[in-house]
Amino acid sequence: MSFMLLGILQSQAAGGGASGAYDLLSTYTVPSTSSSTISLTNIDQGYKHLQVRIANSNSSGTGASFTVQFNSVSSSQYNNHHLQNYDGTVGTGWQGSQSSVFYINNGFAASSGCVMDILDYSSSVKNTTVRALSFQNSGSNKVVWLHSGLWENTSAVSSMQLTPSFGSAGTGTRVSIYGIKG
Amino acid sequence: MMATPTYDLLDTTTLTSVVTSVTFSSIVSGYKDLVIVADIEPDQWDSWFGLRFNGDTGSNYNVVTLAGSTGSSSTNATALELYGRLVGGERCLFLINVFDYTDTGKQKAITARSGTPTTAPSSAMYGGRWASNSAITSITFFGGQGLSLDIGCKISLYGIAG
Repeated sequence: MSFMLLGILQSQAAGGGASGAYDLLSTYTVPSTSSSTISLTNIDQGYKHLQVRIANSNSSGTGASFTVQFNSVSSSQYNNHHLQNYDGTVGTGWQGSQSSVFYINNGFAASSGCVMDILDYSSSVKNTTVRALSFQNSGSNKVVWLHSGLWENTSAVSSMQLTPSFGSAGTGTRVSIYGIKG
Repeated sequence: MMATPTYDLLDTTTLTSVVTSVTFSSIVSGYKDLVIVADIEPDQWDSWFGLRFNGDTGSNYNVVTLAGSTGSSSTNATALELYGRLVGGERCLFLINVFDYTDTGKQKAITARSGTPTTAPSSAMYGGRWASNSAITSITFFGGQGLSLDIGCKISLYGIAG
């Protein structure tokens, strides 16, 4: 597995530099179709919540869902729940004690988008919870998902690893991460 | 990179008269995503909340919807149709994300949520696609099936750097 490291410099937010309530921390655009992991590292701890926005691209005829890990932890600490409309069929699903993956379905072979919120990411006394809204809408695949996730670990989130699954991240796919004051 | 404050208000309007549509034009291109917050109240019967980009009335809009326990989709429609259970005289709130709105290498992706906290409560979520690679420079909002938007409707447009 290869990695694309996306370092996020410690901003001056905690020290009084940036003054916004919603700050762009870093962004990465996939230069060419790739299945490499996108790693967001050195996440600033000076915020309350994080938001990750993914703009998937169909420019190369590909698309991908993403598995998400925190702090490169790959043991069975992840739990997922989702509510979906999958080609007209409404359903729910749950997966517990997953081996290192949290799925954010973000579309195959189509432009699609995802907004993912990571709550109280810097707390060291809470397990980390995640919420995401994503979709795919192309051909016969018309799906919208509402995900919730739990990482059973009280460590502060200092890095995230997003790995394309069931496909590759197409050229131009963009991942941006934001800090939200609280 | 340094942290960059963003989420800037680009335009907003609060209706003081009943209108059939609202258009935000000349949208600046200096952001990556757009966020729309809309507090909508139609003047009459049930319908949907519609969006069109750049005045495009072609069959280029696709939406998949999950509303309560019901799933639906619209394909090759002439507008982005958000079935927020618009009911005459009652409010419905929408939060809409438009991704990479200036990228001419991508069709435009949209996610949205809506809620109607009134006598016919409903919540819904949406994934949409405008099958065009054009940069979005204007957005028109209107009520489906010919309904109008009532006094007090408020629509705000924000830009997010990326």
